[in-house]
Amino acid sequence: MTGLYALHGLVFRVEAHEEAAFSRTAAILAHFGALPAAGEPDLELRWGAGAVPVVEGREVARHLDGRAVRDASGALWLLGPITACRIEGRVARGVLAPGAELPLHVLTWVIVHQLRALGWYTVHAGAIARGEAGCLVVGESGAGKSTLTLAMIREGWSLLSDDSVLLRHTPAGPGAFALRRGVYLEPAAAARTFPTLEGRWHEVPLVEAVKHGLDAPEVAARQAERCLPSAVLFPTRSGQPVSRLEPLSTGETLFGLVQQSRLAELDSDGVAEHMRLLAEVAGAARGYRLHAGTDVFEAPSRVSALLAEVTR
Amino acid sequence: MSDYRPGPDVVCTPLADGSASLLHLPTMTCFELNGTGLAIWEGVQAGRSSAEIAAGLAEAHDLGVAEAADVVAEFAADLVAEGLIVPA
Repeated sequence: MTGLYALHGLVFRVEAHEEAAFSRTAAILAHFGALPAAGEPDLELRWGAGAVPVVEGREVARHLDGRAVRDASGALWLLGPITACRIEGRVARGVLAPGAELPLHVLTWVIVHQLRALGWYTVHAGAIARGEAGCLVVGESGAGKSTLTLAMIREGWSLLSDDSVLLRHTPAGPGAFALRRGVYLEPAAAARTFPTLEGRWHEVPLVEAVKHGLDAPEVAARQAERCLPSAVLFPTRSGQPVSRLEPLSTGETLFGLVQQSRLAELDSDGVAEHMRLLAEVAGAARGYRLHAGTDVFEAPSRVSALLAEVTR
Repeated sequence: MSDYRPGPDVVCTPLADGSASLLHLPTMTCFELNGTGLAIWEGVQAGRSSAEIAAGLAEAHDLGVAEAADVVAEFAADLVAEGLIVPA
């Protein structure tokens, strides 16, 4: 089975030996915002069934239950208990153990690696925009990225993502592009912070089981494809009634971006270019630690005004 | 002749404000360099000896050569300790 899917103008060709692997790959691409498309493929993802091979080579990275190895021919492999994927140039050829479900994290790693080779770099960050300008919201899971993002969407900001974006050079400067779409929150936190949205959360198979997605037309209507980040926010929950911004140096901003850029999980090839792009973001945008108070959900218009001041 | 060379797994990224970031890949640790630190790093990267780097530093910052040599030696020792440079 084959299919073509496009994300930000990049065309992925998917080929799989069976319906389940094909559907799973298509679902994961859709989760990242890719849509069915036509045209010449930029990247190829091919899955076949078989035993996971033993590959000798130099380990270049570790990722959850897998490890990345570069073999003697120079090809890169991601090896895990039920999958092995060989990445050479723009083609990734994977083997999936019979009957196994393709793990989200494996395909994510492969896609992230292939995108990086084409100059697209991921960062674990939400992003919201006002027109062309935007804020990156950077932090570990639980830092409050989704809560802040959702609160700001309801104040009229546009949504790129609450969790992951792609960065890329553009003629106007470093740009952020939507990757994972939608807003996902833990149900109890959602009920506490956004009681008016009760009953509008649904389970999403591809997202961590503890989080549910928001089914809200106003969110879909406010989806943006890209922005130029003019502020980089690192939220922490202060517990205070009023949120405040603490300026960070360019180095501190870069450090925070590096920590959330999966650099340790990827092959070191391309790290220098990845770092240069992160440094451009840190230089072009102002970095702030956002001491997020309860006004994020109790008086979001105030927080929106605070962020608007630094998003120009 | 150079005394040191950059470590094999270190990426230096100059920043717009004149500082720089050193990323040590094995530990994913970031180090900030100020302008003086960056000048010393660039000297090491260019293969200059510690004495040559110190001479440049003395001229740029109106320091005595001995004082500049101390600055370079102390900073180089810190970089060696973190695995950011290694003896040539």
